[in-house]
Amino acid sequence: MAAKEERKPYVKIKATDQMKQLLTDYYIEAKTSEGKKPICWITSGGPVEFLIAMDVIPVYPENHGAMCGASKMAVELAEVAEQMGYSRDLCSYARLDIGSAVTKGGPIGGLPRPDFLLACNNICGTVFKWYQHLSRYFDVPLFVMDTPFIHKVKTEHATEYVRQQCLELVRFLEEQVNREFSEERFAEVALLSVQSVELWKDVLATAEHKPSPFTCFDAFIHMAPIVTLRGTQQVVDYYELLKQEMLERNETGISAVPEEKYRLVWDNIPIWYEMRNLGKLFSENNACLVADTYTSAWAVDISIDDPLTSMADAYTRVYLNISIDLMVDQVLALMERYSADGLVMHSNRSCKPYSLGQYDTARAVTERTGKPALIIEADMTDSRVYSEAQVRERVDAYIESLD
Amino acid sequence: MPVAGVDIGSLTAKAVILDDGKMIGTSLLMTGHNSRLAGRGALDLALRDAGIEEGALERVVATGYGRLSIDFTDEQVTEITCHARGAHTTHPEAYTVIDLGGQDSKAIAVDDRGRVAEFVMNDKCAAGTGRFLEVMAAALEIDLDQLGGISLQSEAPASISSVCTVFAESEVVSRVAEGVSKVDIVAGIHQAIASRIYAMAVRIPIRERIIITGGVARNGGVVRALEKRFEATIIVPEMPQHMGALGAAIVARERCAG
Amino acid sequence: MGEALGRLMEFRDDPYAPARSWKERTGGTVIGYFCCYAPEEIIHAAGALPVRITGENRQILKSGAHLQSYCCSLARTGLDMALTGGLDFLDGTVFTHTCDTMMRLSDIWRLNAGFAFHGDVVIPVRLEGKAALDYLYSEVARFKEAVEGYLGPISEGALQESIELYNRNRELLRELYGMRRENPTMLPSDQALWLVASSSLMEKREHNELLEKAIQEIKAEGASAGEGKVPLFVVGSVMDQWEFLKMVEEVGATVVDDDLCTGYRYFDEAAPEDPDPVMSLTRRIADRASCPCKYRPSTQRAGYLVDRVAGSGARGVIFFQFKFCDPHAFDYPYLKDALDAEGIPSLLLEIEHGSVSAEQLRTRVEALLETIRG
Repeated sequence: MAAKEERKPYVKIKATDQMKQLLTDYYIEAKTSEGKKPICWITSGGPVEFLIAMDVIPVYPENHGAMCGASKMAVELAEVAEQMGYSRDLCSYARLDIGSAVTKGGPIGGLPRPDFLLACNNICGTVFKWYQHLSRYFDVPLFVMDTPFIHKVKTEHATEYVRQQCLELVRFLEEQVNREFSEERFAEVALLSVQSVELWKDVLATAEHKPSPFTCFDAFIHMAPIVTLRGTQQVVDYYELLKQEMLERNETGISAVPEEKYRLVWDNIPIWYEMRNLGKLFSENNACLVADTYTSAWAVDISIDDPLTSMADAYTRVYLNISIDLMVDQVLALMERYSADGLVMHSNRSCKPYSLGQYDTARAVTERTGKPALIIEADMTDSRVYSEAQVRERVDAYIESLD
Repeated sequence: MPVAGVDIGSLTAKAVILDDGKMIGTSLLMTGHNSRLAGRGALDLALRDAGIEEGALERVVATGYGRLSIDFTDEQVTEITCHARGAHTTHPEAYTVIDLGGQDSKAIAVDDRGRVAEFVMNDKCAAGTGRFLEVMAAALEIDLDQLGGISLQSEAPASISSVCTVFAESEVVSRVAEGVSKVDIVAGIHQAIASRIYAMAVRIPIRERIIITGGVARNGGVVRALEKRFEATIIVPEMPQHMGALGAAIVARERCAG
Repeated sequence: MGEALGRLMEFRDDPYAPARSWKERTGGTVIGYFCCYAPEEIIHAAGALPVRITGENRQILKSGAHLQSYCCSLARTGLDMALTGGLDFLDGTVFTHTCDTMMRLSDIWRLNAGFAFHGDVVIPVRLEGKAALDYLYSEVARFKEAVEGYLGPISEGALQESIELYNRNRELLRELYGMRRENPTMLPSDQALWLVASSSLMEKREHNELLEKAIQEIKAEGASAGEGKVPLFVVGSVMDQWEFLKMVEEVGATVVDDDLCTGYRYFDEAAPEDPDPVMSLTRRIADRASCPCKYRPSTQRAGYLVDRVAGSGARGVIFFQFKFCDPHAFDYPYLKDALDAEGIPSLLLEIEHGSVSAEQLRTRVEALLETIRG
């Protein structure tokens, strides 16, 4: 290439250290509470507010999976599950988690033993099969929260069904931890949850600025608190901090990509083991991933007036629980809002609800906006299916086509 | 002033020298293990073919998988952009480019400006590439160059159903053992390759005319089988294997002008 | 081969022939479905013909533009059939909620296949407890309304009649299976499983008549050739690979019983008597045997499988699974461990429509038989 112009150095986000501390403290508390406080393993789309209100420590195997992916330890853990007979075509989060439970492997020496399990299938049907394994393996009870899929319209009986299950969940938790559910405490937690979600939305909104103060690769890292600690005061404090820093960046002209020429939206779960390389690849191409459908999934609307009902509704309407035509509307809205020039979709072998339909979504987006979409084939944690040369080729060609 | 495009593929390296819109020099050689040397060699051969010195070149653009290892060019551009540019510039009526290389295949939708609108690639498996044909030719003990012509003689192509080159090969061996005629088997192979390519290509909007580039374009049997699938006549350019290098040279020209 | 059996066997190579000719004869509406949770009786009571789609052994041409290769061939070949005119006799389809792939396929199908009618029955994943059953009832009722919207009112009487007809079919199929458990050689497994499959491809009344006659014919004929075949049990979802089953017979085994969506799970459990036919259908969905897509207590399916295998007299189990079928793949290690604990040999075969080579599978089945024979 022609001699590169002097690039402004990448400015690290100051709040990152705080976030790492927050997560470290969280995992230390979780691991040292084994046998002392009740621990529940929960899916990423699960209604954690109920757990927090009952002083149950929530543990997220998916978040742990992302950590294993980022530390490049996922494959060795998945292989353990594969040796147990689990097909290599199954979700890699499930495989690595099943393996980690056996070997206590991974960057933090494995997760603390659950006392019970909560799987909400709003994100996929895989989770309840995965958690069935965990239920057998740990010999602990499993509560499945079934949020019926919304093909075009959410039916009233589906709403009622989920509401009833929330009540069932309360009874289940009371039985498991042997104390009464406090409506007051739940309302407190719900309020904190709403506040943290509002702040997270504000953080994401700072990327509407041209140029954007952060990329989605930053968002993937900074989302950990909203996923794992939603409903706590620390999360509210943290996102207030991060929001201020991002606003400041916009004011003082610090942008994530030094020469932001192309603004793109990312779709699907991150490729956890390639975040740095991908970040560089896009940045070198002067492209900033300004928004994504994954982090936006936690930017839901909950009303504080009737938290239980509005939560039941919000958890059912998540991005992965709606039909493709409804997803297209959301992607278009995101692209419009963030002034995007294109769409980058990670065709993730591990996640069928997220990936099947991407081809149609890409076509619909291009038809309606004239903007092209790029599809990258990979897996969120299983690096065996990743080909750097192929991805580089495709990204380079795509950026060239945006000219 | 002349410009050059160098396409370093995984199997072959090609170069094209363009002057005033005309190809004044071309070359083709095997890439081997060293992309940098192959690229160098291709450029030198093309320069000799054109009868000019390297200093006379205004700009050189490199493309192909080996483009990143080259240090003697001014710019690297992906093959997708280059094949699209090359094909559409030489054939402005072509809006769908299907590149069938030795080890990968791609389909590119070109917009009204001749730019890449969308593309799809198959670089995970051999089915649908030149390699597939090589394996089959060897299994049937037929010259690779004769394969296409033979396929056109069949009235009843055999069915080869495996999606994988390795298993398709054993299917071919089985058909031979069953006594199916080689002509029909060869036609079946061509149908299979056309199906694989078609299934990949329909992921982008197909807009006529369709043009095919890359070495496999020289196989008339594949072209005919693809025409049946797409229900359209397909343009086969004069030097299909050089389309990437030509496109790179055109990009070089554009960069000089603009 | 008896006449009735012959008539049922003759369309195996052209499974949609009866649907096409029914449509031509009657001018009626044909509604396709993928899963045996589909409330067929509602479609039948509306005067339409429900027809099951199980994919096809074919090369993918067009569905690759909508579905990545990492989902099952039932979805990929099914969609390919729809996009290439292979299902032109269909007027509509109904999708039931089972797995993630079918969930997304429903959307993709609705957006691309171009049929006049599209139904979604979002069957809950939980099938126990009042909340789930109330929800399921409403969902089945909603489907009835959707069909009525398309084809006109369905009286309760008509629906009860259809339920009775379907229950009769289930009864006959149970009788067939009972016969084969007692005398495995009386009918080869590929024919037995086809008799079940054929039920989902033609008008129920007609199938009842033919099946009843065929059962008489089979009884009259007594044991067919092939004494001393090793009885096997097959677990999986869709079984439409007739060459494979013929090969199993050839190597000296026979599938005496199964836990397949297109086998036993199609007809197990009658729809219970209920003055409210929608409730009857609801209860049948809830009370049937475990499908891995539905949540039952996590330790239930292994016990169920072991009991079924023991009850069938089978000496080995074949897991006949489609590549990329997640629910079955998740249950596999658990089920295999349970069989191992009982000393029951098993074999896992992973297949895809269009690339099933009976020859390649032969070696593996033979190896299983060698293990069984000791």
